[in-house]
Amino acid sequence: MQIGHYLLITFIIAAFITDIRKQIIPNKLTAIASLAGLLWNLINKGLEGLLFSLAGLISGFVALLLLFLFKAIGAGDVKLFAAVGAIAGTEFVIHSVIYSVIYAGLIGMVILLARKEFVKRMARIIVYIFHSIVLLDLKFLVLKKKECLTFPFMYAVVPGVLTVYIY
Amino acid sequence: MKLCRKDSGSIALEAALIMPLFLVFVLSLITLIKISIIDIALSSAVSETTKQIAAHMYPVDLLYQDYEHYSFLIPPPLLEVAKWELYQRNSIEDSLNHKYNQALNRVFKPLLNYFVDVNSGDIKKLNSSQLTIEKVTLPNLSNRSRAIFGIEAKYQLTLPIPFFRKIIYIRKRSLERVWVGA
Repeated sequence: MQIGHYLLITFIIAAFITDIRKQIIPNKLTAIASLAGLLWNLINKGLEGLLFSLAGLISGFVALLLLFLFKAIGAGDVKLFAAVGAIAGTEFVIHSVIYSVIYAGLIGMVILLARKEFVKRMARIIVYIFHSIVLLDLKFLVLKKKECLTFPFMYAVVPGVLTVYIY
Repeated sequence: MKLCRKDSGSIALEAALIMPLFLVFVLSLITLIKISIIDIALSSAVSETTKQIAAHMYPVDLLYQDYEHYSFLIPPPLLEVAKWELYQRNSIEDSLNHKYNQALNRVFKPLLNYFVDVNSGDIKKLNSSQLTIEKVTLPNLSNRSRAIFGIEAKYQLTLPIPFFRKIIYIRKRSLERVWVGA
């Protein structure tokens, strides 16, 4: 398991740096990490390892694909979690997603309070929920990037992955 | 496709605030479904086991006198119970209580698992390692008025709640009067 740990840690740190600098997770990085994850699992546990890795890749990808379709997260994040799944497997990546989402919510709250536009943004969220659930207006579900405030998802992913490690 | 070309790594603030709420909703739904599936599976396994044993106690009663002669009549897990009844019960009951519980699980767990597998079809709902037998009431074959068989089983379930390792136990008990002939 040792090499897998190093692989995951290096990958997360690299993605963290690029994401914070340019709000980008390069395709090269995610592709290399996915391939390395698949290869390492194949070498380590043979065909069973490859299946484990592929299952992780697919579940990480699918879990975030829906969010991407609603423009909630960037494409880089989807591929990042696919790569994490390829390295560490299904269970790890699902837990990572759950914890990352929680941390993202906390960070969002902090940003909201710091920018002193709590009421305005909250009102918009309530309108959003009202439109999508009560009026079933699906077009409204797709977030408009320009109207939204964005922050690097890696701020939440790093503590999320760390939490999964600790538990 | 856009997904292939683009590589932005940002999250919208609105999405970050809504997602945890959605997550809570989904996780609580999963938890409820998990609990109810296990509750149903465990109670059917326990009641099915006691029913089967109670219905097939007559050969065991015969076996009580003549074990070698009737052994071919009985499915393998039940045979283990019968052997245990014949050879080991008294000596184990005399020894430590802890040891007794271990033996109880060793003998009756395969039996319970046998009925779990039979009933659930292809889907495995209960994980054998999380299942423990709490108490077994054995029928008194010499005193017909107290010929009652019962099993009490416990299932350990870890709830999928982030940050909390919440473990709950689901207990099921079933009692059945055994049929030992007229």
